[in-house]
Amino acid sequence: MLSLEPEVLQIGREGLIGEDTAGLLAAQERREIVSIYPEVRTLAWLGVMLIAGGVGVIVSKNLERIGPVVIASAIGVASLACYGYCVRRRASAIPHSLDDYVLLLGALLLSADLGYIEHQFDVLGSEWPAHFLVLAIVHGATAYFFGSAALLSLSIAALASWFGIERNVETFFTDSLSTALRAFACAGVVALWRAANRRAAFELVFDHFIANLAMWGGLILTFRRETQEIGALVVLVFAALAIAYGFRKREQAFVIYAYVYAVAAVEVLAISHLHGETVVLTYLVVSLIAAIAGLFAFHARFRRSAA
Amino acid sequence: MTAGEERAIELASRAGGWNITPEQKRAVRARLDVAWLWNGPLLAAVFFVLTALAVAALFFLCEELHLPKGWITAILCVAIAELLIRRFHFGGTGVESALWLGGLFAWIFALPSEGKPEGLLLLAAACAIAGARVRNPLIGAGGPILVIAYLAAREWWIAALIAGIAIAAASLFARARGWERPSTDNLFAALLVICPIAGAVASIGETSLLWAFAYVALAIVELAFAIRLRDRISLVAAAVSSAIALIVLRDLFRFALEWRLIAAGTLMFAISVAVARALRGRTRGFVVTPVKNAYEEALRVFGSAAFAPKNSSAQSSQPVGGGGNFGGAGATGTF
Repeated sequence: MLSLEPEVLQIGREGLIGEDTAGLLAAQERREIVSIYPEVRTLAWLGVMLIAGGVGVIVSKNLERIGPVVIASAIGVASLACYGYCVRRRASAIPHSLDDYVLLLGALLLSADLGYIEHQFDVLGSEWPAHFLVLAIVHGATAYFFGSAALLSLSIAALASWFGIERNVETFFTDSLSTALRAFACAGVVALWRAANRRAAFELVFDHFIANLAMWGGLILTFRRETQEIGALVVLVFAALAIAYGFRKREQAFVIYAYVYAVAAVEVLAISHLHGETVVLTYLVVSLIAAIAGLFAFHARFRRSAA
Repeated sequence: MTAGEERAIELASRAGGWNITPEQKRAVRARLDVAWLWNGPLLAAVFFVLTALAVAALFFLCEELHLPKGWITAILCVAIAELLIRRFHFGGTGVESALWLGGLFAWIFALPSEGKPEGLLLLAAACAIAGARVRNPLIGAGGPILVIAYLAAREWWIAALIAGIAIAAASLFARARGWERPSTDNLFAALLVICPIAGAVASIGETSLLWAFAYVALAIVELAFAIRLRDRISLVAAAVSSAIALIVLRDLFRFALEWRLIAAGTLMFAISVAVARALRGRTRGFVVTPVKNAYEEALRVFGSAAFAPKNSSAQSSQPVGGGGNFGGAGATGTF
């Protein structure tokens, strides 16, 4: 196994980091202290996702055998138990490292339960998608109550579902102008929500969703022959904004994926105007090399600005 | 790239997660500044994909022009990769890896093919050569994985399974010694985790359930190793081997898929809670001291959104309208 202890101690001796810090880092390199915090939490996340997935299968398969009321009640109780546990834990001075995963499980169970109840008992009738809005509000409120970015993420995803935005690549090839417009509208609503938000820890989650929803909508337009020019322009504008934001906030992820969205939009637009395989392939070779060089330039600039 | 330079790059990337001030981080990085261009995993992956697409476009362009596509693509790619490495000091950007691997793959794909599985061995050799040249552990691990795929393609299921376990076991013991180069250490880490998965995927459903005990034995050895040497990767490998053993034995659990999922999820969650409780308050050895991990955070915040309720039928009349489907908690139901 690898140990960087000599280098860490050297950095400590040179005074670049404090002696205590250097000692702690050297102990980590000697593996006297090994934190498995990320592994434990990832295991918990996988557990939650498997449980939620299993519940999803139950509600879709076992209707007649168990009965809708029993299923809805059981999931509801399990969800409430998770929320109840988290409310109780919230008062505790020492939060448990896995509390937020219990909360996430509760929220996912609630989502499944509400969707199931709506489908089974037809509570909202033709307005059935409104249950997504209910979920968005409930998850949003609980996100603020518990200070959970994961719940906020679920809330925005539910809001996007209410707007009718699907989360798969087929969207680009099958969806209509209205889907793109709904993506822009959803991005706008999330932007308004972000403006009203007073919790700094949530800002990045909002920003990621706004950027992705807007550029996703633009890409949908780019894939439609009638709107591809305006679509590409929209993607480029939002990508430029996201890149500028990434530079300002020193968030490299924005720069990277905004750049990828922009490249995709330009490639789709250009290829649709080119004729003949030789021309298209020549263009692809040249443009991809240019895209790689451009990303290098952006990255170098990003590094300089962060230094 | 020398071992010292590799270590400096590794240290600079680790410094991002250290609990020190931004000024200290900048000072450390400036001190460790090496003359090589390298990127973090996300950016390297983007560069790798963009370069691989360019290589593929070049390959098909040569085909379109009736030129010797394999030779031209291979020579151009390897030459450019070498130029970038030697002249411009590319060392972990993702570009040189894609050029080396893409060039060799292009040459192999252009060979007259009879569809024989031995082609997989050529691809494995290409991975080994490219991985060794650019010192990329994931590309290097591709070699043994393709060998396992070859064994499966020949329908030597047990050999594929044993190869996966044997490579993992060998990697485990290789990790016991101190390696100077991070890339060597990472190669064994990748082999340790990935090879049993490759062996299991290649042989599952084709071998006796008793082979599950081989994975159990591997998991026990990995766990013992992890505890003795306090190695996180071996701990992950032990979890993976245990999961494979359970999957191999899945037919023994005579209950429906949904209950298996819930049981597995509950077990995983219970283990994480038990481990967190057992280690709470500890300051030496394995601890659960919070460590900022961007990937775990991204998984929790954005990965969970993938399991959020989906609207899979609302094509035209949203926000309201449509009907028939509902979703959430990782499933979309249709009745």
